[in-house]
Amino acid sequence: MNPLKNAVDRWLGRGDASISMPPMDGAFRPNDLLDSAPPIMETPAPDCLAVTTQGVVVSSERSLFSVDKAGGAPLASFDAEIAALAGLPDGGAAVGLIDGRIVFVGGEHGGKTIEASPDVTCITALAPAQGGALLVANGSASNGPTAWKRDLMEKNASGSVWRIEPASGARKQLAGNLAYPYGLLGEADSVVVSESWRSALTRIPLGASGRSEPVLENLPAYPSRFSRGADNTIWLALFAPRRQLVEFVLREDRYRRRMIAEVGADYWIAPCLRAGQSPLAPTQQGGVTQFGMLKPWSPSWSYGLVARLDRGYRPIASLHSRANGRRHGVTSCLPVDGRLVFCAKGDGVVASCAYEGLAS
Amino acid sequence: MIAELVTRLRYRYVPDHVVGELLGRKWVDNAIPVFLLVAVTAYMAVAIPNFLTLGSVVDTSRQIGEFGLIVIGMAIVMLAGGIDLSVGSNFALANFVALALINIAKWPTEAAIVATIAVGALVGLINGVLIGYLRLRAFLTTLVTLTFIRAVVEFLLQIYSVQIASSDVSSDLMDFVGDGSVLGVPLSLVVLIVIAIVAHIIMTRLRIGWHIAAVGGSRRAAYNAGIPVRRTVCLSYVVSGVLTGLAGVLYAARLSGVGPDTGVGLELTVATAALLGGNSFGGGRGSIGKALMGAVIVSVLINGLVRLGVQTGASAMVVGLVLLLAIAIDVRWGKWRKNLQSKVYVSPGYLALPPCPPFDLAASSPYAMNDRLGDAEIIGLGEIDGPEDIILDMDDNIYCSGRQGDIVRFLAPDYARHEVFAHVGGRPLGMAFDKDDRLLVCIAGMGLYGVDKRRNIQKLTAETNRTPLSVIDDSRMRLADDLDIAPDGTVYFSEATIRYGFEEWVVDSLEGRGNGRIIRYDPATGATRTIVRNLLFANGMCMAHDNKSVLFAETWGCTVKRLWLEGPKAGRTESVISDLPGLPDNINRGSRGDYWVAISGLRTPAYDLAMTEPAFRKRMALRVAGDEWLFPNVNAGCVARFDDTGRVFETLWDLHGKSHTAINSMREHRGYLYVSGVTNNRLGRVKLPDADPQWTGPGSYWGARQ
Repeated sequence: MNPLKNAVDRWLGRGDASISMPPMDGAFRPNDLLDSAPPIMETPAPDCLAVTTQGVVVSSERSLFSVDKAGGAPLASFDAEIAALAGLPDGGAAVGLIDGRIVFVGGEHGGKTIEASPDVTCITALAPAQGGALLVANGSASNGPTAWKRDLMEKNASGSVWRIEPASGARKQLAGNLAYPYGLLGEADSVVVSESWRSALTRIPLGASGRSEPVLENLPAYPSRFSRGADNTIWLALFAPRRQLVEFVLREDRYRRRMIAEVGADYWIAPCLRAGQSPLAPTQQGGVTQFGMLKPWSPSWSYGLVARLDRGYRPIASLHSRANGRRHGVTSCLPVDGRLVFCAKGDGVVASCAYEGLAS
Repeated sequence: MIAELVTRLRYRYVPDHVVGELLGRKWVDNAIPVFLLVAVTAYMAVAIPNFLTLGSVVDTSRQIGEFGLIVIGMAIVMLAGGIDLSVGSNFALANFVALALINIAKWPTEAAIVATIAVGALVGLINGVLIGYLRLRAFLTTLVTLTFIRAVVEFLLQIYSVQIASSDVSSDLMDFVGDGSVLGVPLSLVVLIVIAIVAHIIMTRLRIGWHIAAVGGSRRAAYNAGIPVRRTVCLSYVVSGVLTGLAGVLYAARLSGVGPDTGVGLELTVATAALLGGNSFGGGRGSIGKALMGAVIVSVLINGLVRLGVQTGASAMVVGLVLLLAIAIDVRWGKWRKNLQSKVYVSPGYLALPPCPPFDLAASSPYAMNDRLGDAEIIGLGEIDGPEDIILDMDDNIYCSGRQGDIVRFLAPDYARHEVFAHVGGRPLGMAFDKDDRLLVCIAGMGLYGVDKRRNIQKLTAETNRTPLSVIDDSRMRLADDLDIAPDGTVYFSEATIRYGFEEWVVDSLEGRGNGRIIRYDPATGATRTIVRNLLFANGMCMAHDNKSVLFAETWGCTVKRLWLEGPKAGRTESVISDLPGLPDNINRGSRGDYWVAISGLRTPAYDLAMTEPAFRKRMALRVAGDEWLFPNVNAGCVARFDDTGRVFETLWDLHGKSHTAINSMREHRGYLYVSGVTNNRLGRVKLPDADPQWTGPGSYWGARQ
């Protein structure tokens, strides 16, 4: 754009240089519903939930577990960490691994593996499409799924969405230049993608014609996976909060580059799934403990948030785990039989709560 | 590297902080008028030959004499929140009365002068009664007076002007008033100077002057404070009338002529001058000096324009434009200045810290985290709010300085009971006992205080010598932080920063500049002197065991240093520990010839990096909400034990942050270590296995009690 305008904006902190943040208000008014949800199972870094013929399954590191049989042996284990998981219409599951392979468990293609390709190296989400195909979200062209923080701080928008035929392995790119697509929801003739770094949901048409269009923008946190309930409302997991300071650092290119180069990623000014793990992590003024307590409203690098959207993708309610909560970093949620099952990856908990009557 | 060097040099030598400090001073209001004065004079001096010659200056100064008197009157009225438009015709009336009394009534000159001034005062009194007591609108009322007096003057002129013009009365006194000089200075200028000095003293030093400014600043507040508002307002108009009358006399003496043009449009010129000098239309802000400056600017301008041959209409137009400018400045300046100051005051510096020693659980350094404070015995949970410092007396009672301005005492032996030992106010911080068991305490916002055993509170010092050439007045202490006492009773104490108060210490961390200092207080003479300046948040103070030096902590520098008090290096500072993993706070003696330092927060890599990016921090202060600012990690900390050589022996941490996340002070006492924290609601103590179980702090300083 106009370089002069950019310079003025930067100097005055407005326009693109503005770091104003959507407030946690309206449908996003804070509560502690995630914290009060009874836990189902505790497992390190539960990441993705799916419904299969085995019931609700959750991925944790290299294994799949049944949520209904907490504490049981893993349903399946792999030689690499699981990056994404999707339940397929035939009752099987598609499992994306962090090295880019996709493995089918159960169902029609059970046991089949689609080898990694250089185009798809950062699988973040999988979803079944019509006609037996599989939709794949590739978060970033340059970073793997474990390096999502780097992808955010590098201000990348190199993600893409693919359609893969399980039978032949043939793949087709549906959209590119996405800012970390992290969730997929197939619709009749389109797919809705959560673009984390844009804090937005985007609709991508499946046909040849049509352009992608924003569905929901200005979310107060970074969205990840989402799923549709029986009542057609949509449940969106938001895995980390947006912070003014992060937005500010994203606009401070010099500091940002030096930080990426000189500081370990765990100690960056950046969101994370669980804050407070290390005394070396940066602190914000409002995050000072008073009388030995961290106040729930204090700014934190991690947060727990699930939003309920109506069928038009407008937020109508939300469930929170605030700064002092213990259900942070929710990366996946599923409505099952009137209960919302969610996994707090940051705190290693799968929990569920009834959502009947939940509205802001 | 080059870029780094450039940044470092730029932030060392360009004094960014001065701009904000300048904008904080009241006298900076005069910057615009002074600039205008210089600019106008310089322009005229260049454009008009002989503009600055003696004759020309004397001529101009006679006019300035008359004009300035009226401007002073106007400024006083404006200061009280009003305006006096009637000065134009009042001036004409005074001119007429003076000439009529001398030439027609043949009054003695002295009597005529007094009577003329009285007439001026009468007009002012009419204005004053109408506006002050009947509370009519100043603008409309004086507009009516202006028109009315003008009509009276014209009426009188029709009758008497010929008689005055044809009169042959001459008066030496009148000639002297008109043309005379004192030591080469025209009399009217002398009168102006004398009046200005008197008026300045009245306005700045006497009760009535303060009343006038108070009424103009806030009428209601002045009323509530018991100031007679109506009388004060009335008086300001009388003063304006008197000065206008006096100016009329000077004018009459100089020109000895009456005409319908006398004083026409004068009110506008006078108002322009008063405003341009920096007196506010709204009242409450202004001074005699500003009025004089405005008067000189406008006189020079008008004189210059006349001598440049500019037509009368054009000259009036210029005055009108200047008036517009003055109004604009008057309305905008205060706001601009505040906005600008808030944008530029915070001026971060470049601070490159040495590599941070590792302190993780497995680290081999003495800083390795442990949980030795995790099971500390808790004292007074919920009974105290933010104990910054903690100290024990010879009877084992604990004293701590709380947020509400209290020094709270927990009573030995079990510390179950507590009482407010003394309410000192402010924010008490560091404490120390002197040899008479008096508790000396540094109080943020107040200074150095003492509380004796009978709980009498006494101020020891709150002021030190001002730093030469410092823009902000740093003689008054804003953030006295910690102290220690030498054997001869001399108190060495730190002031963390001279630029911020206690509640804003965070902003000082953002600056990371040397804003702190060490001050010496001598109880024998009562003298207070600053002995070390430009310290990075001077914090904990502790006399070395041999009393030859005092140790102090520079919080932002993450260092403990030593200031030599005697010996070959007296007066010099040297580093003791240069690379702490966090922010040192209070330092106190230990029982084994060693010292304890509280590390009240930890460095984080992102913070260390930001300290080398001043521009980044400056923008952060402007853009990001305070709650979201990057901050040193004060949610974790420890206490460290070290010796005179700077060797660190051990550290004590509360690993899980159960009780003592951040620790600001600690004292060793009879084999225990007592800790306190400024964001905590409890005290704690742990047993020290190898410590001397008899050792006490006061005993270490003043010897065992008999």
